[in-house]
Amino acid sequence: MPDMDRAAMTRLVYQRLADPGFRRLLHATAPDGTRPIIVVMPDDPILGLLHQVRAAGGSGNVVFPALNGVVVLTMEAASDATSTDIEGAEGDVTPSPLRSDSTVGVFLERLRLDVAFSGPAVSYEFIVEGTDERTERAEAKVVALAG
Amino acid sequence: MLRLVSHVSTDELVRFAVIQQTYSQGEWRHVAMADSCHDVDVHLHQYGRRSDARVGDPEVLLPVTSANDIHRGYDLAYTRVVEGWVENHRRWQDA
Repeated sequence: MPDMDRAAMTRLVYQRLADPGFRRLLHATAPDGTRPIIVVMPDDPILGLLHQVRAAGGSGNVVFPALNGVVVLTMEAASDATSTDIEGAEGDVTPSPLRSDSTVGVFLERLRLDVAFSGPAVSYEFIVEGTDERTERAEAKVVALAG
Repeated sequence: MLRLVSHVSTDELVRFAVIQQTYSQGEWRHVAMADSCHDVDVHLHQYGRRSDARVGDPEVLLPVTSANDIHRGYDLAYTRVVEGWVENHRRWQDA
């Protein structure tokens, strides 16, 4: 599954959408009632994922391949790039920040460790490097680790 | 874009539309749409850039006689819309 390319992964997600059980994993809903799905690959930079979540209206259902299926996350970005006002879910933690130029694969490994200790909802800060180095904050909630 | 209609009690897929859009002149516009919205077949609509409306007759991809046909048609719709993305867009540009 991790060797799958983006086109094959997108097709797999499309096929899985016909399954009611998979559709029930998609918790993030946009204001217009749609449920944005963001397909990402392990080598994608986290910054690209954050941009896609923002482009989807601030929250999205993130799907990426894993060893034995797909991982489904609900991700919500803070409304302001420098804001820290996301209301944490029960049991959430704020682990040490992640660099936004890290890959989604690194993020997944961090998430696996953090979820084991703190439960499915984890808030992260992502350091975005540039001329105005800043942090972005997003909450990731694991819906299925092998959906 | 994908629209799905499912059965209220079973959540099974009963109707779908797979829509290819392009951003043009400040708006998202339909390029092609494969759907099962008349319940008798799965068909593909093409749209035109100039009219911003459907052009030509829909192409029937698969007659629908059972729930299984909806699932087969759903898969076929992906192939025609996503794998035909560039060709659909070229037709939209020219129409």
